[in-house]
Amino acid sequence: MMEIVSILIGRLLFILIATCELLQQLWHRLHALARRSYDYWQCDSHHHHELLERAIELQKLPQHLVLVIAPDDRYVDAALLKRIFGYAQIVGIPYLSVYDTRTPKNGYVDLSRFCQTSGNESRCFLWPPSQQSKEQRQQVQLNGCKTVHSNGTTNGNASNGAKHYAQLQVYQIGTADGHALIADVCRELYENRSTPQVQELLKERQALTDGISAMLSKRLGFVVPEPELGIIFSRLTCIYGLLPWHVRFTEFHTHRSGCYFEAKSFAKVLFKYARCEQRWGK
Amino acid sequence: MDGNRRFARSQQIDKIEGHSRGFSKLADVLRWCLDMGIREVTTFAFSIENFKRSNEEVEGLFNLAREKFSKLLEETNRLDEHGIRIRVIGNIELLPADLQRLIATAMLRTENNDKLFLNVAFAYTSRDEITQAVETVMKHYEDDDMPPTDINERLLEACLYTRHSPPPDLVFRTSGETRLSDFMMWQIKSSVLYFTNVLWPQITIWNFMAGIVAYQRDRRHLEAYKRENRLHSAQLDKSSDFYSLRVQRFLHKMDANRRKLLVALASN
Repeated sequence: MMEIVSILIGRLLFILIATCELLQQLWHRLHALARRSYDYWQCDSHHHHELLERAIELQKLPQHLVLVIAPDDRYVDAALLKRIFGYAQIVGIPYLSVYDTRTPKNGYVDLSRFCQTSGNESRCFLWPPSQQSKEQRQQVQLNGCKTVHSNGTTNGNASNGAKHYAQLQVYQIGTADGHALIADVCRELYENRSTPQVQELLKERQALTDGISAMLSKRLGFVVPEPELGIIFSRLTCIYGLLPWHVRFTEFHTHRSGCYFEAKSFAKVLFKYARCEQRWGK
Repeated sequence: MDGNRRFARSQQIDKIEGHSRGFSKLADVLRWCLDMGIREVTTFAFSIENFKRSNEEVEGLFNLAREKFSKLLEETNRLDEHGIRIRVIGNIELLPADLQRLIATAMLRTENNDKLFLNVAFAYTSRDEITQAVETVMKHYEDDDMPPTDINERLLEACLYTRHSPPPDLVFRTSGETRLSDFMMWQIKSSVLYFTNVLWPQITIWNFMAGIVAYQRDRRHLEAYKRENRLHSAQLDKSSDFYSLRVQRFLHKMDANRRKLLVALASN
């Protein structure tokens, strides 16, 4: 009898939690719609820039940010990614990776559609594309001239406060870049096991670890530091197989799917990251 | 189990006393897990990175480990009664010889138990574990002249320290840190991560249950992803002959070598 009652209470609790979740999700979607409409009509990018420029003054900023998009996320699209790239550019984060676990049918965003490919690497891009970047610079130059004439400013700022930002280096990471890539590296080492270089690596574990790191970086085309901050777009916190070798010390922040992501959200993540203390085992 | 030293600072007690309270809390949490029906628990006790701490603290932690493992060995009857198997995962050869002996003895003494599993990550980092797996393949696979096509993520996974354990369903980290600190990075691809601000020695059953409820709420969102992973794994098994005699013989030999090492350490 007690068992049946316990099971019933458990089920009721579940239904309650599921209902709360549903209501919460509805609220987030309504809020997102309201905020998106407000931002569209207000065009308040100046306020957003101010918020992000305050973030630039933080003592600790990540050099490499990774965005993880869950397989069942329906809200992260190219427009949102472009906004986030813009925020990262303003704040001065030089490297950004995007790990989109969705399929093309479920909303996968192909960065090559709005980013400029960088060199021969198919996974490495620059944002904004150089045409857009050139236009930005021309805008600054034009406005800069006016500024020189009107109030003598010579710092390259446009009279409307627009600044020129360096292009962001963006990497598109796939599911094949995680466990499978480590296995590929192992296979390559095995195939070359009789060479003196590989024999040297096998003498000491740390040497092998360093060798694997170097080979992974070469295959990924990563000439960047390991990601220091990750934003997970999902209804739960899970890394979905993201780069097991590289994200061991990454600080993760979950942005719940369906919630509106704006400059304020981005700044909040950066402020939280600045507060965290990394002890490196000590 | 993060937050022992911050707890010690807040209570104005010695760091080692903080770690000791942390260990007592582990005993409580294991009891809660047992009562809830959680059959396998892996706990991150000491990272290879922790060797960077002061000699005093490292030695204090080792002394605590010696004390606890010795006590465990005195209570093996109770462990056998409950069917609890102790496994220590990590590069235990980095530890002092006497601690290696205690750990190896505890593992061998409980190796036939199969109801409940306690895995203690000691002198462990995920990078070291993955490197160890690559090293195992490199050094021992050629003995049987295996084709390189046998080497894939499935084989590497089978060479990890956690070879006989399923991937964790829930990762529970205390003290407010939201990073993984090189803990089971390979295994947790589809685990629910739960971060809580409470310090480990201060954790209560309500904090613990909040984590369990979070897992129960979130796991259904991972079902599709886990199913895909299982399918992918099955495809890999088929394409690389993972269940072929030669691969299984290699893995069996690897298990035998690991056991031989434990026997050598226990009789050291």
